[in-house]
Amino acid sequence: MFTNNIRFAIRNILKNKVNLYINVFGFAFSIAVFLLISIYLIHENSFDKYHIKADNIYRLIDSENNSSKIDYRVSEILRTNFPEVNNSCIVQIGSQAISIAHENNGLFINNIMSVDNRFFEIFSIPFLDGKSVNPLPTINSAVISESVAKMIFGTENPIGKEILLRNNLPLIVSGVINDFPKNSSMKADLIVNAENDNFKFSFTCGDYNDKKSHRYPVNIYLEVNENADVSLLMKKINNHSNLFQPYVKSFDVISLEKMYLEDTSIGADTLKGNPYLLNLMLTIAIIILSLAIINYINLSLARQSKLNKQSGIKKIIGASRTDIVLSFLIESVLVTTLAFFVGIILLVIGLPIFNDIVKNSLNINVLLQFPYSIILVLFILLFGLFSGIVPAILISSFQPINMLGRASITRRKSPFRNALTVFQFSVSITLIFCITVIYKQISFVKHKNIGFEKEQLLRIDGSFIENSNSSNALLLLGKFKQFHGINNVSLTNGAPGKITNHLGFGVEGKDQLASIIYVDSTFLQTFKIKQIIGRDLLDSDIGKACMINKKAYEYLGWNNLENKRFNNGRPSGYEVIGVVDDFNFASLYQPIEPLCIIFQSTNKQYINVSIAKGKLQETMAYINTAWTEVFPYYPLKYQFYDDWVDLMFRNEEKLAKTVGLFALLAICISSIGILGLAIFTTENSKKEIGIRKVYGAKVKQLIVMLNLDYIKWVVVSIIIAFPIGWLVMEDWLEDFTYRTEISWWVFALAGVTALGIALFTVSFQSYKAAVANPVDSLRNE
Amino acid sequence: MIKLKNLEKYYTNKFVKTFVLRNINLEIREGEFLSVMGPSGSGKSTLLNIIGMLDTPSSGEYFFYDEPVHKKSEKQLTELHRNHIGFVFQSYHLIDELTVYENIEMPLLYQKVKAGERKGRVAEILDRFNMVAKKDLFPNQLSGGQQQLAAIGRAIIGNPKLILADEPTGNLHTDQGKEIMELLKKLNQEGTTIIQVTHSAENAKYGNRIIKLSDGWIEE
Ligand SMILES: Nc1ncnc2c1ncn2[C@@H]1O[C@H](COP(=O)(O)OP(=O)(O)OP(=O)(O)O)[C@@H](O)[C@H]1O
Ligand SMILES: [Mg+2]
Repeated sequence: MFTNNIRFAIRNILKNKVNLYINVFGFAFSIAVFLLISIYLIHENSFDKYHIKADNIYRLIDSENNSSKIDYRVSEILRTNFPEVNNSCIVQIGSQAISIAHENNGLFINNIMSVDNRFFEIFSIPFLDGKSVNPLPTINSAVISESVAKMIFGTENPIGKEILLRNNLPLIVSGVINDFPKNSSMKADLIVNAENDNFKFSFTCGDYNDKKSHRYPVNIYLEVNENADVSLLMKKINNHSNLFQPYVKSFDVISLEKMYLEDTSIGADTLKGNPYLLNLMLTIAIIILSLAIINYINLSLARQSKLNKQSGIKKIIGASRTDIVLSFLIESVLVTTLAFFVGIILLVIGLPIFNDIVKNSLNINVLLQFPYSIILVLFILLFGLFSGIVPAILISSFQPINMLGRASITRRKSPFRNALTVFQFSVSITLIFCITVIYKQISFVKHKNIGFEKEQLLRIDGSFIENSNSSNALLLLGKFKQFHGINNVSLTNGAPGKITNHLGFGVEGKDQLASIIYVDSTFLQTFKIKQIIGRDLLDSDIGKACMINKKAYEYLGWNNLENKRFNNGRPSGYEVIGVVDDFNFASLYQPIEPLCIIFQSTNKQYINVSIAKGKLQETMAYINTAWTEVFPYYPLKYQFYDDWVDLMFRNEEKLAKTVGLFALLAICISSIGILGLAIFTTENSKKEIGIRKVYGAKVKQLIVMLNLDYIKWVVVSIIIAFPIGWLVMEDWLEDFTYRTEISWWVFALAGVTALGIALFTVSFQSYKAAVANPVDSLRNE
Repeated sequence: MIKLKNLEKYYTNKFVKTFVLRNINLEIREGEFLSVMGPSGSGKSTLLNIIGMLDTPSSGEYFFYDEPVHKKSEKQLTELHRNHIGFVFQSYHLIDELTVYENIEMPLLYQKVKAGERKGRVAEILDRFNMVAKKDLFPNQLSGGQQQLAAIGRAIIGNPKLILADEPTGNLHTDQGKEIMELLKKLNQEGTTIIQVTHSAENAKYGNRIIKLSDGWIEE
């Protein structure tokens, strides 16, 4: 019986081609999306789990400040006082690009990691060359990644060779490691010894002269004994907080396995995933699957009169209810299996596109690995069963005699089917709505006036320039100033988007830190920043004076600048000679904070170049040549400020693109389903249309009549979708300091688009049915 | 074989009871060929469907081989459909997606008859009805009479004790109708109990007993 059931199912499937195509493609699309998202989720959830001891590794958090930055000395205190702590290590990952060179081979690397030797005991770092025990024997040892080794040394053996860091710091290569895998939240091309003072990346102090107040904050990782209960251990540690004075008052930990997605602490050097995007993707996957299932159910129900007859006959012949249900399930599982293979093809085509969007290199192979392959097969089965079960139960429960005709065939749809259609439309409309708001927000922030002229303003990275060749920086500056395509040049330490310095105002009762940027005399002109209070800058002010932004002025509560000083940074502080209008120098996600602009002539970290309108190309060419003349061994690294602003919204753009892509797919899947419905309903209403035509109905009237069915439901869907979309987007917009409004036209756009898509999908069917010769349709009955 | 006691069927629509069958008392013995006649709307099909256990009476009792039908479970009813009752309809009700062969074979599948035996029995039927050449055609490729032959083939292949035929010749040409009636008569002679609904007095005569329904009442 089973084989016969399969045979009949295949027969049934092949006899209804339209149905087959619609279901297979609907399913295939959604399966492809589901697999795609699965691959992504698997990847994102696999972070850091490759470390053999991953289960037992934790990062320490200063719970008072919710900060992962803790003085390095805490590591040893923990290790020596708590037997449950098997091992601990310190890790810092530098965030600035840094140059390394061997002889004449130089390059910039983005990730430099500073660790102690215990790091290699806790984490699984496979060595290609060199010792894996104590791999950093001296404070000048360095471990490099395979790819950096290849680029600098080619085929030479790097071990024992010297590399020059930042042009002035010689290191000896003591090991070569595999590149960190993609799913590692800590990555480095160069690992150096944290005991070297040069590699204590951050430093804070209350008073520089008071050595006791010096702190070197790092990330600390613990390897906890397998048998230890971590929450108990933390209690114990917190009960002995006196041991950690004066560094930390209370501790918390986050496990290595959760670090990538769940860490909310500040000051972690590791990569962080985007759980919001992940949840969103999961939601989308589920929505898209349900859309496809709804299509299947809807189409089955649209064919109900046909299926009813078949099932009715089978029952009369002696099929039991189980037989009927089974035949439906076999059919749906067959359809999903077929769709699965088409889906795989779509996935292979779609994966590179998706990779491009999420800037990732996901691989389809994970699905073939052990637990996932089984889950996948089960999933396909379940998916098929789930799609088949609703029509099966509905149809098999009828009395056979009611299934054989009598119930007349009309255009009228069942409330259940209407609800499903409304659900599909609502999802599509909500997605269109959201995507419009997201793009509106991105465009709003991108076009916001950020307080300085970001167009054609370039920031060249000069952070490698040491005092030894700072004259070269001035040489370059001179060349730039002469070139006709360059309006202005300014040398700065720190720049918008790159401010790392913070100082107190030195004003009593005002202990908020101000961001500090060191600039030369041409800064304001180069960035076109408006001064609103105070006098012009004089040559004699360099090294002695500063300006503050409006925000700082307001914060300090000053009414004028008479005898006002910024009492920090150098022994006598700086005279405040002016106030500039606020401009965005940090993330556009945060409101503008107090800023102090200090004028000095020794800056060389960034060379900011304002390029004249219409001369971009020749100027860039000139900058390149000039650069190579002055710094032949260093690649030119630069960024336009407008790109900086754009990049800030990379996450949002990723989100927009992702939502956009999936919205498109969701709309496609829904449209496929609605098209199917239209085909079947017009098919079923042929007789009605025929009769109406015989009695004089015009084609136009018939089309309107048929389309009205759908328009009605689109309108209902709009009423459902708008409040949902509005709530979701209001919630999303809340996180933005600068946020757009959800204007009326967003609603209009979403509504009209949905209506347009629905009409476009069904009109052709309506038209075909309306112009058909009534004689044909009536004879067929 | 069949005993109906005070059987009634009505539909309630907005508090109005419309009676289709009233106070039906009927006994049908094994081997009978009963013709049911009556004007359109008098409840003939309804009666047949109740006898065929496709529909349930509103009140009254129905005994099939002395067992009360109204107490049977869905499973038991399926079993009866499978092994004891064959149906023939005015509009044939073949499955459009299956060939003649497959349509005829279908009941045997539900009876779980082995493949070898199935083949033999379907071949026998096809042979008997002169339909071997048509076995791979789909219903819509056959004439009405051929479709009805296939439907009868399907009804009898499971060797049912009872065949219920609702206007089996209603859609057919007189000649084809005659052929079908002869066939039913032959089946009856071979021992199958047959109940047919018909409008034609001529066809009714093929049976050995005639009842008339009018407005839901039996007039024998
Ligand atoms: N589901 C139903 N709801 C309401 N009334 C019904 C229903 N089914 C049948 N009827 C009514 O029952 C009556 C008998 O119907 P039935 O089909 O048994 O008549 P019939 O004698 O077979 O007629 P015909 O010779 O035209 O086939 C009809 O008046 C019909 O309107
Ligand atoms: Mg009838």
